[in-house]
Amino acid sequence: MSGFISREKFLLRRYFGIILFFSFAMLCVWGLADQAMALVTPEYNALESERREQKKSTDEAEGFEAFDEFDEFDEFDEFDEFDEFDEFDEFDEFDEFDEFDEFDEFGEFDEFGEFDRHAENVFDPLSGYNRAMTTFNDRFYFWIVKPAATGYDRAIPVPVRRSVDNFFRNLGYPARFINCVLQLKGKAAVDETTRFLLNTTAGMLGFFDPAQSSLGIWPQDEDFGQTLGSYGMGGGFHIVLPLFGPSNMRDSAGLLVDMFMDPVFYMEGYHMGSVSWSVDGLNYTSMHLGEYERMKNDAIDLYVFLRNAYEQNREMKIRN
Amino acid sequence: MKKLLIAAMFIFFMATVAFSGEKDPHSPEAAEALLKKNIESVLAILEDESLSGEEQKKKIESIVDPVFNYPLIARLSLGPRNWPRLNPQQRDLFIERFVRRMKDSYFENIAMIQGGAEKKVQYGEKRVEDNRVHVPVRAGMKDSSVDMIYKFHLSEVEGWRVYDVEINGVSIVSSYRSQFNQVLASSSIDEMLDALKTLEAPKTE
Repeated sequence: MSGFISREKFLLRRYFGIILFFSFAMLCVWGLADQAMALVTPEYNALESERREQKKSTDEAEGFEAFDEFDEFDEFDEFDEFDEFDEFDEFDEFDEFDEFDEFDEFGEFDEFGEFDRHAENVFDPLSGYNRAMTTFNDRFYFWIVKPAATGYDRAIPVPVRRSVDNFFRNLGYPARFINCVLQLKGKAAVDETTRFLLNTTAGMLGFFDPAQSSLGIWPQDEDFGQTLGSYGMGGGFHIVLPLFGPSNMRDSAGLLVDMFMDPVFYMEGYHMGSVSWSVDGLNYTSMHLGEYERMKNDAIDLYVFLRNAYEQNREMKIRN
Repeated sequence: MKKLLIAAMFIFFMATVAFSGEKDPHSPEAAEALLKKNIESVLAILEDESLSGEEQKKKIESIVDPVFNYPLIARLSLGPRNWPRLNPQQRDLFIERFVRRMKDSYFENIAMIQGGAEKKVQYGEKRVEDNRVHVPVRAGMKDSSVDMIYKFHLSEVEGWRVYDVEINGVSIVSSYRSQFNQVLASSSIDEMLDALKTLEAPKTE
């Protein structure tokens, strides 16, 4: 029997080794492509602006030209060409509504170009799959996770759940610490270490959080995706992960790396890792019931809403 | 002697008026002050338990409305791609329906954030850029905090008015615009306007 388990473990490790290798390979390819595109971009931009100048003279819709310049995926602008043509076709229909104030409004849109980054011409090659996975996750949440978390919510009192949450957060110390260090955030790394030492001892293995309640030291929110982002790596295209929800190429790879920094991953015993991750997830969801429902109610198009919110939120976290 | 005293008081009074008058309502500081005053009043209303939910909402609206530039928010949310496609009637209709919906959802969020806030509201370093000022605000809650950025735009006539709010990095305008771009890529303006009307107003569970 023990032979079976060790063989299982061996296979498991080899399996994760392969995944890790591929994720790093993917990262390398992505990084190289990024670099290559950056080299090509000035030339490409010059061509693009020339093309636009020509267009300007023939087209009435002047204000439209400028709004591509903040586009996150400049390298994929060739895909936008088709959109642009559509756009101008559409626009021609509305020539009858050309009023004087319209030109002012175009100026206004140029002035507020800050919204173009996540709202205009988003390169989303996986949108078909992503939409399907969003629906799957939505059903999974309402059919399985929510009923389970609601039952758990009724059965287990809040202080206990908070303790469970604290315990798992304390276990996440190595990942957060390493990522603070990798981002050269000295104070954050010290804060994290103080928290870990205090909460593991006085906080009884992390079930309580005296660091926050009495010293006011809050946990850092750092992960490997943010570390990569702080090094200047773009998110790549958006991808919705099963169960985890919205993510992008960079953050999916980051998630995998963070998993290897989680002590739970190295726990002895059959499938202990997945069991404890499930408990963590269930516990977390039970404390945040209703939040997803709120977001869903707010959305006009759920997938696009979630994608936009995720990418913007991650960008803020990387900036901070 | 009495006259002198009154004269002195009068001069002092005039001096204070003149001094406060020096504070240009078009200066970036004015935007920050406006926001602080606004948030304080909203917090006071949320704490007043004698008011019903409806009354609270009405009072908050009366405070928030003059500060928000709703038509600008609506235009920016529809974006340069789709706004020119609407005719004047559709534009009015869009602004009306969009603003109602946005307000509902925004007030829900604010009530949740500020209701859970332990009165700890911190103001960050404001960012000034031409005629725009971004003021970061952090609302501390029990287990977490919410970072918001209020973005003000200066118009000559109306002074500082909010054109966008970011909640945890998520801009309201950007969020709506990405969705409208998607929806209007496959359906007509009228369909969108109908959907905006029939869509259920967001509710908390």
